[in-house]
Amino acid sequence: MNGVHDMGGMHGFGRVEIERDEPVFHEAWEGRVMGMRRLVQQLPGMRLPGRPVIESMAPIHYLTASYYERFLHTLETHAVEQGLITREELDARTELFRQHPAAPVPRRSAPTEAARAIASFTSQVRPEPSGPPPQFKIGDPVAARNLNPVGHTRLPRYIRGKRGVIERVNGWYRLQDEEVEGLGPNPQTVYTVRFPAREVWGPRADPHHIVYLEMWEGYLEPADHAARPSGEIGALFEETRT
Amino acid sequence: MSDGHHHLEPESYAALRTRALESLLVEKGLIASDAIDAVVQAYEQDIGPRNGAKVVARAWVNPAYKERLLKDGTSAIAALGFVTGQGAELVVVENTPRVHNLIVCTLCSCYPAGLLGLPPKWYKDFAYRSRAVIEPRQVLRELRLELDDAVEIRVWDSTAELRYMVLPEQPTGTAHLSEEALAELVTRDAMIGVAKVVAPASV
Repeated sequence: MNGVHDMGGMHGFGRVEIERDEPVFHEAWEGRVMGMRRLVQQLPGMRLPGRPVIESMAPIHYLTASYYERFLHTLETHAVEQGLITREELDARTELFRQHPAAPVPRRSAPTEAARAIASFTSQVRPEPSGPPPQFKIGDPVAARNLNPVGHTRLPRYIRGKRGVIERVNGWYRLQDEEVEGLGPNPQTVYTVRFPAREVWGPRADPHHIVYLEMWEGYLEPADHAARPSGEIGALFEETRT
Repeated sequence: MSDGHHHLEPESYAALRTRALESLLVEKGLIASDAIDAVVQAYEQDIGPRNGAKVVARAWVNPAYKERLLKDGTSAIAALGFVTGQGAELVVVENTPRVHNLIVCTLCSCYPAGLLGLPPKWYKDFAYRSRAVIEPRQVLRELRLELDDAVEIRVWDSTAELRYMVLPEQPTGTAHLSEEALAELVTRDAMIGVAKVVAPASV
């Protein structure tokens, strides 16, 4: 979707500020959210794509929520949608803690569940090993299709319609546009595509700046870079190739 | 732990909501409190940029390992006991005197968590996500990393299921240091590409 989360190239967000000696979590609740989110995802039968939930937040909500507030929103949405809890009991419990700040959170100990949660950090699961043969090879000129799906996509606005060159062929991955909707699986080759900044951002862009994106095959179409007016784009690609 | 605290100011809505969620999920027997504790502890203490730093130091001292790392990052880090995180494949990109790499996720905040831990706040902030792809040199300059105009900047937008880590340049004058000492020099920011690794003052 053409949402506010799709931020590449936007202006107006100010300076990048690095916090020295930043703690992993600034507040305890942030850690609890991350812990719960990881555990709920590991419950049997859960299909919990988080990004569509975050991307569907009202723009004003997305922009004013902190990173962990967006995760909290996702966790809460999933827990309700999956029938783990109801919105009503969550509201009631929130109100109870507001009125009784000292009320304890109940505890349940399950060492095997804790051990399983820790083990999940070192397991590497690659979901989709194979699919149709790749249509493009390294060095092929391609263009990002101008697609504007209303659902989740990994094709950012800033790259649509822009031309690049296949840099890497990465194997097959489930197309997330469909996966998050419960469709598919639709494994497609994912390519790393090289785009000169001048193609993406225009003639005033830095000539020594390249942007690489990962693109599912369905995001791409063949392109003839030399066929553009005055061959300038072909020259551009020659110029930036190292 | 979020429970049992007496705050002078009322707790934030997020903190209250989180306690409410935790109490319900625990009460219903869906998740265990000590499993949450264990995940939080793992994030805070075990999974962090020290993992990535060990990979970088190994690549600096061992050319065969470096070659393998650049060719197949996922299997190379597995040899040291690390994973990328989230089941993703790892691509390691090498900084040289002529090429500088920078990692970003414009759509959310994808990050090689198994090697670097949870991303820092600035990596997730809108300023970095919006600007890294359009004006990386300016962003780096603000972060006090001045690159020569002739240095090619390669920005990697993590849009799919790959994760990137930068292999920074080994600082000059550190060839005599041990692998362990080298790993101490490598910072999180250098492995994202917003800083260089600097030699210790005593070298």
